[in-house]
Amino acid sequence: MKNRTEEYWALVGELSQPPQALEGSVERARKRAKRAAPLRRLAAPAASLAAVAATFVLLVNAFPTFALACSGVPIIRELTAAVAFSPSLSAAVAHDYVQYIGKTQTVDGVTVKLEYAIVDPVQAVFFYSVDGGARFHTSPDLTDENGQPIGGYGVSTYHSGQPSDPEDLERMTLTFARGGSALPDRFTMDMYFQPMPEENQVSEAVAPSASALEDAPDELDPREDPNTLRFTFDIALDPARSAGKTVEVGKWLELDGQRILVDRLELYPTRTVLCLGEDPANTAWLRTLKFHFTDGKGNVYDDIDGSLSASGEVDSKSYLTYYFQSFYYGQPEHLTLHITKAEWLEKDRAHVFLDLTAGTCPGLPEGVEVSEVTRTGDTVRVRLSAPLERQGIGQTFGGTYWDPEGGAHSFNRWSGTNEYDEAGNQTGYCEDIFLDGYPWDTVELELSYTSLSVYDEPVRVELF
Amino acid sequence: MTEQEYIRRAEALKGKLYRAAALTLGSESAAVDAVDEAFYKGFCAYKKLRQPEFFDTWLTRILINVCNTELRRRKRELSVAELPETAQEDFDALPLKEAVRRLPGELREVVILRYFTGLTLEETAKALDIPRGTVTSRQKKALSLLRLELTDEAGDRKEEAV
Repeated sequence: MKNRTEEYWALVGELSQPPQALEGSVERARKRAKRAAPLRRLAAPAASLAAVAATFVLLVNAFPTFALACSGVPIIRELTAAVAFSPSLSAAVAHDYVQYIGKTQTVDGVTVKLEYAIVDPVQAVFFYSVDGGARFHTSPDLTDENGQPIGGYGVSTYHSGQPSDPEDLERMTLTFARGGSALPDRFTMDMYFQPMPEENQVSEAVAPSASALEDAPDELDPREDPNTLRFTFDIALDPARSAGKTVEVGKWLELDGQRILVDRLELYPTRTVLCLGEDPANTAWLRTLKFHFTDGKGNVYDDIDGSLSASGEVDSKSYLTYYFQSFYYGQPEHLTLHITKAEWLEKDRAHVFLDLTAGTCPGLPEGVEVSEVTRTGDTVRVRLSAPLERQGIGQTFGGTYWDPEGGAHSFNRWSGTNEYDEAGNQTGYCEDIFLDGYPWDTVELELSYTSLSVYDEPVRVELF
Repeated sequence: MTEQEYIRRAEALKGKLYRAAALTLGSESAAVDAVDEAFYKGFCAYKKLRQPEFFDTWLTRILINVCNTELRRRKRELSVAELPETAQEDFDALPLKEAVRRLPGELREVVILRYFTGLTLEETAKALDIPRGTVTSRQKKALSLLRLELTDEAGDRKEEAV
């Protein structure tokens, strides 16, 4: 291991060369500030603005086309700040692809303002502020005009975790499965918040210990928590939102002996969707694909906002739909897909049996080993060593496991830990899985993958 | 302070802010985003800055707040997707860059400002809004955890080197 002082100077040298992307950062800030300025100035005569805002809200909701006509409304500073770390949403905001919602509700002294929405066929991003010390608690419930629940979406949130500054916008994203039901133009959304006591303010990151995890109580449905505050908003979306653009590709490629179709690219204001297909004769399901894009000018489009995700299929265990940052605005003239990593699940090798007494489990993927099995009462903790390349991809096993009597159980807890050698180099990755209330000596587990390929030379596909 | 003055001083501070953000957030692209955001927030507020002589510490504090907001967001997302990975961190076994990132936040801020952006003790105290003595004690503790033997003046020497 290097001497710490040598390491220090090497690190100082490394950091002294800022990336090219930093060039023009002050000018970018100046332009953003200028763009936001008109509405900030408008904020001065607050009394008169209130009447204008009330009329505006009424018009937007009574006449959806008015919302479209208002697409050129200056974007306020708080919204620009709320999308700062998302290239896709920043581009959408920069192109005025934003709808003003302007709904406010107060419950028990807490006021939630649902301010803006960015909605396309694959995502609905809502921006809201909270005044009165409460935090987003759990997924919202959506119902249509007939009171029927709307499903088929996943929820992610982006918020500070601290009692909100009422001027800061937080955001909630609903991601809709492709081919599923679309978000209707009019619907009701119940949002759930929890009052935030002072002591709940965010402290420094401290990982929970294994014993703390073992003592974790079962979680109740947050909606049933008597402290939960429910806010109900009737929402009318602009029906003229973008339908997106499709680029047909239709190229087959062979990866690790399996045939995969790069079918098409769908471009939406908030996301790019890479649609793949597979040969039914394949002997393995495609479980994970990692990739990036390049254009004809040497620009690399990596997963810089960490938003790469995938969705599965109804009749296959493969993940064939991948969601990436948006190319909708400023679409490159040429785009090449570079596949760097693929994970497979052999169709005839999906389950393994773990002997909890001997700690043996034949048939695990290459590089995965059972390193420790500990039992505390009826809780069993199994520690697995996994290859470094697996870090950040997900669990080795699926969410369900079976006891020897055929009973099905679900994992409630899982954790991952990095492993390092004496020189401080990361060598691997550890997974801990917990079988709660499990008195049996063997367990049947479902593998989430059986092999992992890392392509030193990425597999290239010219898309357009 | 005029707009031109803000632009000039922000440009001059850009490299230091990038170093602080890169070490705090661990990613080049996230660091650039954080600096962009700090410059933007600064642009919106520089006219209210009553003591322009404290411009550097003022903008540094904005950057720290931006980085902390991003770290809290990541932590919250991690708690949904998977659990944190840093149980019983052994600082000795980590490369320095990673060890700095794993320091408790209050120690990390001090060591980054003092030894990677070159702020003096007084400037660091002002940027973090803590007493000078607290900076000294946090600095000592951080260096001890990192097993780094740097003097109080090391930050200034580093500035000359880079």
